[in-house]
Amino acid sequence: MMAAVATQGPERCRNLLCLAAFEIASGFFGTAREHIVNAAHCSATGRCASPRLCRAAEAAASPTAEPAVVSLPAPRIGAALPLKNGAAEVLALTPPTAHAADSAGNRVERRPLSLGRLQSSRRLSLLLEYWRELWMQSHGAMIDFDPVRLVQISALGWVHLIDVSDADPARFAVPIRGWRVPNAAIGESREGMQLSEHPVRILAEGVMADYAAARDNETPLYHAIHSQLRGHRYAYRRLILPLSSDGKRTDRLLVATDFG
Amino acid sequence: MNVLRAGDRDSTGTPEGTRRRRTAKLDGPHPIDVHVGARIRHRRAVVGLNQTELALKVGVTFQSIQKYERGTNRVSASRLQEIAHVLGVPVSHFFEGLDSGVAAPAVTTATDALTSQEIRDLNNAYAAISDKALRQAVLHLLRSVAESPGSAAALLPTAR
Repeated sequence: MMAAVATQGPERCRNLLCLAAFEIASGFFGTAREHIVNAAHCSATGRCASPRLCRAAEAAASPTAEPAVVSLPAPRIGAALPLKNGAAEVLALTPPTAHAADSAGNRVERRPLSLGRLQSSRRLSLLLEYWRELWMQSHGAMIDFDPVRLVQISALGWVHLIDVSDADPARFAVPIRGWRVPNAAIGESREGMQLSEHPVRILAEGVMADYAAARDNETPLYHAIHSQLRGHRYAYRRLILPLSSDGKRTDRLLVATDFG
Repeated sequence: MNVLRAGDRDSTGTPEGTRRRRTAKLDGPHPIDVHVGARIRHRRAVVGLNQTELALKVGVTFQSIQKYERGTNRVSASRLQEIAHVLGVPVSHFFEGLDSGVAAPAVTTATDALTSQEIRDLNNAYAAISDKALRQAVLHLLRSVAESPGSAAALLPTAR
């Protein structure tokens, strides 16, 4: 149902439909219905029925002055520097960068980053700030989640909601997919799919591991990701935030991306 | 089956025959508070205010707005008037769509146990059924049970 909500309708109303999907996930069906009715009205008449919200969403979607994600340096794991006396000193390790490749020419590089480096992405740092409020308040309960915040911090359309209630990471599902996130590599919208269905196995395996870690440790995770998937190159930063459908158990993740 | 006798207390510790005051903690949010809260959220979302902004304009904390929207906290009449003013609607807006039967004592007794979480679970489970014929069958079953509560016993495991 949510997949249909978030993918139908004219382009300009996708913000409303995306908000409706989040309202459904939060349990506010009446609010969701109102957004859907407004989107339908816009589609039928060409006149926006929710101009304040739509204007805010469009302004939020406009390009910002955020820095582009640059090429990652070569991994420093175990790198050795020669010392004057001819010995070598192993550098202190930064979190390891994971590399994966397959025979089809797909490549994925995931580099864990400290949350302190979020400052370079205004969108992600504001989202983290909001999440911290929510987490302190009610363990990230979806019922307290306010989708209007996504509009105001330019995150609407750039975030996925992931259902991680299943013990098996392969069965984690994607009830809401950020419609602005480039997905040429995986074709049409993949809302509702399970991670095991992802067409690029090496990407899915890394994603499963990161999502499971964020869920099990109930902590945000931040990564820089460089990939080449089916001939398309992607470079972005990704923030994973744990949420809860009942305010007790972490069983949802909000995954925000910033392509810079 | 346990039978309460005169002077016994029920599971809530209330002597039989006395009317216990309804509490959100024991009984869950009142359906009307849930409805009003949902209408506040709906209007706030359409206007494009976040919870913190509405809280600032009304003079409460954003946690209070969260609780109003959930129905956990009841909104006072004066506060509802302020919220209506900020959101640009009459106070009656927050009561629109209320089934008049909800307020009737006999009906509230029957619906008290149905928490908003149960309603969400039910809705989610129903929506997850992709087969239209199967959805119709489930709906038919629910209606049958609602119309003749006695038949529900046949669906439950036998008590031992």
